[in-house]
Amino acid sequence: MKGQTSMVAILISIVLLVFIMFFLFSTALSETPGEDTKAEYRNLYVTNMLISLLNTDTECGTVGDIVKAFYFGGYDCSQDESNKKIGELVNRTLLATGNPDYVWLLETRPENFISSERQWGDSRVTDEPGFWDATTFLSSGGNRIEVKLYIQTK
Amino acid sequence: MNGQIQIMEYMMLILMIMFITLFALVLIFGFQFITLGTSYSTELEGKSMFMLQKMLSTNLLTSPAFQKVSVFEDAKLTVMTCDDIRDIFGEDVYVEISAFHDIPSCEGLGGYELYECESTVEDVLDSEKTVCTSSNYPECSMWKYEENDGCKKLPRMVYRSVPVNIYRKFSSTVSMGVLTIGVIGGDSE
Repeated sequence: MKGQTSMVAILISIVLLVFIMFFLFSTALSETPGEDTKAEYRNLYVTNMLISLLNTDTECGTVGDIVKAFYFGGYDCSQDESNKKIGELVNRTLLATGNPDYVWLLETRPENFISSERQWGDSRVTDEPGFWDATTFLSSGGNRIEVKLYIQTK
Repeated sequence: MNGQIQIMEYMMLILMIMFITLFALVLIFGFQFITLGTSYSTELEGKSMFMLQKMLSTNLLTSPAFQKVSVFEDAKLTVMTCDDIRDIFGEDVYVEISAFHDIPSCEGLGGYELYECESTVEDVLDSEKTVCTSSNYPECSMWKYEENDGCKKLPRMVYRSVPVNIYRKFSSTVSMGVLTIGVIGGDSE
């Protein structure tokens, strides 16, 4: 009788231990390493892509000038050539940073005046969740244009 | 007979206790192993982010003409050495910066103009692959600092790349480029 009681006690201890360890393991395994830092990196990446892109000089002026020219005129090259420059720069940068499978969308929207939105890149980027984005503003006179860049893995 | 049964019972008890202890030890070590691996990855990610942000904001490399982060100055990049990188960022850090040139469009051109344009494109693409030294600056667009062991690519490095601008002093233009850093986890000593 005493032996049987001991056996039962030991069995209960084993079961409790297994449950505790299972809980601890599942907690440890479910923690994806550095998830916050990965999000921070993606934000830095897309922000830098947007700001650097707008500051870059091309034979058609800076990319920021090309964007403003859509709203206010003053293209240095043809509109087609100017638009191609934007696509070239973004695609070359994505390739050089080891991300050829990323898709992107550059979108502009007038903030305090009436005009249309404009897009460069793949408009389907924002159809699926999981994209990351950055926003900045361009000014011309008293007019402000919101510029947004979206990046998504294919 | 009763005595033998009792001895058997005690032996079973001892065996069970040994088994439980062994099982508990395996589970505890396994749990420790997993959490150590997780914290190593987290540490590496954190270190790479810190390095990136430090590089993007250091006055030693950025252009005063812009007062902005992420605009490197090509002359400063050219004079920087592996020893400077080690002094600022520590041991076993890999740094590479590359700039793109605007590739001229040759569409609609013909004859000699087309030939000239294509030559220019070829020169531009060659220049993008040329690593900068004090002798070939500014006809170059890549900066690497692998002259010493402390700045070379290592097998267990984690690499991060971000887009940046590079201010080309001679032509007073701003190019698009990429900064790549590589870091290694743990103590490098």
